Amino acid sequence: MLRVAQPSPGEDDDRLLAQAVAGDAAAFGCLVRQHEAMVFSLARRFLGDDSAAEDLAQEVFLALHQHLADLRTAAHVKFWLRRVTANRCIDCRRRRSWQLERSGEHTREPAIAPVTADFLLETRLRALVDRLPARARLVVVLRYQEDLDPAEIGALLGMPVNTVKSHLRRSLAALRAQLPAEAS
Amino acid sequence: MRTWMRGVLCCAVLMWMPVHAWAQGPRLQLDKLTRLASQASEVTDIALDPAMLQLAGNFVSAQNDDSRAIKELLGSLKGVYVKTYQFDRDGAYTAADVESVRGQLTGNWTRLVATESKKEQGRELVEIYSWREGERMGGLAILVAEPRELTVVNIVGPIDLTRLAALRGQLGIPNVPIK
Amino acid sequence: MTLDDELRRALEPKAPPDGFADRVLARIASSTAAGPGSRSPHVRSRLIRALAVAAALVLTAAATSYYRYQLVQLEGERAAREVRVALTIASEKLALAARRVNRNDDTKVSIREAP
Repeated sequence: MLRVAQPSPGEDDDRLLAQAVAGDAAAFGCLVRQHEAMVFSLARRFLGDDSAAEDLAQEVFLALHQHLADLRTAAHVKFWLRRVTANRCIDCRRRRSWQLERSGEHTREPAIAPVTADFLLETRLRALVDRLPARARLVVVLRYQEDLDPAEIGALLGMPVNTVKSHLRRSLAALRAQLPAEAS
Repeated sequence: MRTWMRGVLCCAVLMWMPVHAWAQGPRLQLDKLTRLASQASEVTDIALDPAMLQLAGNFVSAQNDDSRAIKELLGSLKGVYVKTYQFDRDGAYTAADVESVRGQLTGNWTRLVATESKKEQGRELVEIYSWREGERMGGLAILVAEPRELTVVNIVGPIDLTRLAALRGQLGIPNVPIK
Repeated sequence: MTLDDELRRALEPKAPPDGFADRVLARIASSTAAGPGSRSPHVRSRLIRALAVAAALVLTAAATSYYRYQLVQLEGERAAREVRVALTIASEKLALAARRVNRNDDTKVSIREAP
C-alpha cells in the first residue's frame, strides 16, 4: 500500500502536479491531502452524511487520478475538483433521491430545535444552510466555504451570474429571517 | 375563383382571430420591459411555455415536499412568465413601463388586490389580477413596482392561490401567514 | 460580527475522517494492479488495441444519441430550475401583497378569487 507523504512546507504546487502527472504516487497523495478537506466538506454539506460524503470524495479523487494529464496548473486542479464535486453532488442527490437535509434525518447535526439563545449560532447556521434548497445551498457553500465570488460560482456551476446572485440574496434573507434577532 | 378564394381567406382570418384573442387573453405581452435589462443590476427573465412546462414537470421529482408542491401546481398550468428587474437607483423605470403592463389588465382581468404606499424611498405598488372567462379561472398576474425593483409575474392557466402562497414555507423561506 | 463572517466560520472546511488519503490511494492501487494469469505483453497490447477500436466504434455510434439525450437532460433541468424560481418569486410577491394589505386594513383581508 502506498503511503501518503506529508506535503513539505513551501512545496511548489505546480511542480507537485507535474510529478503526480508523471506517475509519482507520493506526489498524488500530497495533492489528495491538499484538497481533501475542500472536497469532503462540499460533499458533506450537500449530502448531509459523513459516509456518503467520503464515498463521493473518494470517487472525485479517483476521477482526478484518471484525468490528471488533462490538468495544467494547480489552480486548474482546484477548479476541476470543485466543479466535479459539485456536479457529482447534484448527480448523487438526483440518483439516490436524498431527502432534504433540512429534515434532519441524514445529518449528525443536532436536530433543529426552536431558536433559543442557548444554541451556538454556528450550529444553528449550519442547520439552516442544510435546509436551503439544493442549488441555493451549493451556491451558499461555494461562497462562504470556498470564498468564491458570484462570477466564479457561475462559471463553476454553469449558472448565469444573476441567478447566482439571486440565490445568494434569497438565501441570506431566509437565513436572516430565521436567526434570533440579537444574533442577526 | 380569385374572389372565392379571397372570401375563404377572410373567413379563415375572422374565425382565427377570436380564438387567437382568447388564447392571448391570460398571457401578457411583456416585451416592452426588456429594454430595462440594460439598466438593471439584476435581471430574472423566465418564459416557460406549455412545452417547457411539461418538460420541467418531468424533471421535478416528487420525492420531497417542496418538489411535490411544485409538481402539483404545474399540473394545470399553460405558461409561466416572470420578469424581475432590480436597479441600483430610484427612477430607473418609468410610469409608462408600468402602464405597458397595467394597460393589458382589462376585459377578462379582475383586480383582486391593489395596494399603494408611499415610503421614504418612494412609492410602492402591489397589484394582483385574476383572469376569468365565466366561471373558469385562467390566469394570474402580479405586478410589484418598488422604488428599485419592478416585478411582473404572469401565470397562464388555473392556479390555486392558497397553494402558491403556501409554497414559500416549503422552500426554506419564512412563511408569512396569509389569512 | 456580520452574517457573512458567521457563515464563513460556520462553513469552514471540515477534514475527512482519518486515513482518507490512504484509502483513496489504496483504491487507486487496486484498480490499476494487473490481475493474476495475465497474457504476454505483445498479446495483451494487440488485444487492447482491438478492444479499443471496437469500443471506439461503439462509442461513436452511441455518441450522437447520448449527446441529444444530454441536451434534453440539460434543458429539462434548466426548465425545472426556472419553474422553481418563478413560483418562488410569485409566492413571495403574494406574501408581500398580503403584508401590505394586512398592514393597511385593521380587518384582515384574504387574498381570494373574485366571486
